[in-house]
Amino acid sequence: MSTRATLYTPGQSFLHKLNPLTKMVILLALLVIIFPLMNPFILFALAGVAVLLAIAAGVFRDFVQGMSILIPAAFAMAFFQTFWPAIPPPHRPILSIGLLTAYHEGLYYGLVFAGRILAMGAFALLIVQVTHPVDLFVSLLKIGVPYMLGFMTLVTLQLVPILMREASTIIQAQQSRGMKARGLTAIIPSMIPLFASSMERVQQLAMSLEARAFGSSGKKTSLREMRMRGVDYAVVVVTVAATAAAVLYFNQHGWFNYLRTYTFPLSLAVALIALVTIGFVGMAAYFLARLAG
Amino acid sequence: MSEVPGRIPPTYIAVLVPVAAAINVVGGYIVNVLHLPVFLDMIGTCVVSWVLGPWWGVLTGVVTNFAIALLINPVYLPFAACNAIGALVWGYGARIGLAKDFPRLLFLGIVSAFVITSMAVPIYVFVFGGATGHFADIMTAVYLQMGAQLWVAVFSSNILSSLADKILAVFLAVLIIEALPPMLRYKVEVAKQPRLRVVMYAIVGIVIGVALAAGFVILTAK
Repeated sequence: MSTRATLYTPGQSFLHKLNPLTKMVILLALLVIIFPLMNPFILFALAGVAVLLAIAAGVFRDFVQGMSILIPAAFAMAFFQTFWPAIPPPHRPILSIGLLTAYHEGLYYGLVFAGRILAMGAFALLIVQVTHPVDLFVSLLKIGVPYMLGFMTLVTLQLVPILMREASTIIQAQQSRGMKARGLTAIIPSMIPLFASSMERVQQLAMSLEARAFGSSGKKTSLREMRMRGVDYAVVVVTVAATAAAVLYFNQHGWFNYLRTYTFPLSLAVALIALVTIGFVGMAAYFLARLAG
Repeated sequence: MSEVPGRIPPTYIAVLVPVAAAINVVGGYIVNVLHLPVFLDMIGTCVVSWVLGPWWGVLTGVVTNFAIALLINPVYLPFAACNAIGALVWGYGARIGLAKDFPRLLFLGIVSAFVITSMAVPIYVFVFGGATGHFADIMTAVYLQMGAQLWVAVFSSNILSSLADKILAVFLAVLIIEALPPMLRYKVEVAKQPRLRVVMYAIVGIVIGVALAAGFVILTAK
């Protein structure tokens, strides 16, 4: 696992330069559109747009890594829905494999879920990648998010890579003393030293905060200043207008919901079902193999 | 955040919460290295909700999920609600003395698992279509094939890992409280030296029991 502080990837792209609040508006607008959409083709296309934007912003490599975490869940949700659709019957069967029967509605609904999570995850990831966490919290401070919340989150982000390194040092040290590096019994010799050393860190950090007059009641300032520029206001206006138009358009067309009517061509259905099944079975096999050691 | 404990300096709180949140995140990394089918991503929350109070635990949970949003992916942000409700159950549970001895602690672990899973299931079903991307998905598929509704299957499979996870979390939190400086733990009354082998047996027994019970209920309800 990487010990990098956050997903933020420095860069000079247009997206990097936007104010974090502008980016939050964009993200919210996308959520408003993505969540009610009931069309897997549009959803996957939107996820594709996020990929293109990630390439354009020069953050593609870490983007792929970040998205890979969502893949197992995407396979699982498509698999569940394909064979056991969570919608009222009637269901039109496509084919049967042993005990399982795949349905058109199920495959469609499963792809909607997978497409939705991939599209939401892709845009959210992209926005996080092009926004410096400090900038984000400085901006959120301005719209009334408490200072403490931002401060604590930033300290957490600093601590995670440090504790991560410490945890792997502790596990290695315990292994060299003969600890079995798996199973429930290994938790205690790994967790307790980690907590003990973190408590030392708590005392050091508390002292250094004290020394810097953390508790004083004066106004807190930040090294990084965030301003809404003209281009930010322009982007916000365009985003809001475009979202309103998109919502109206999609609403007129029932959010392109073809759940009950769409029939997958047999070859496409077979390919998709095979992909989803192999993905899910592969994931299950991986988890079982890890558990067995 | 009304109840700042009198004798714990505010700078300590300002640091203890982020450290606990970082432990939450790193706990997930440790179970990954040790190949365990649990999460252990709420131990820090549990410790803080006992030491500082339930609402500081809620803050720890929220901070944890903000950090996860910036470290892994913001789609996991809704799970802040699970972390927060866990903090409330543990914090108020300890106030009414549920952390005092072994059986009560076990009870607190079981109650928290059910409450937290009840919070998580709607998120899993509505946002993730019932999938978690974890071990629990295998059990979900089994329960679905047995004829369960999606939300029943998701609850029945996730409660299993949640039970193991939360029972283990409260007992580990007890061990951690013992390692804290006295200034921080004067307020909490927790069990002494939980017998961990017994905890393991209890977890295995409870998880298998609940798995069978869920299977039985699903099969008979069909």
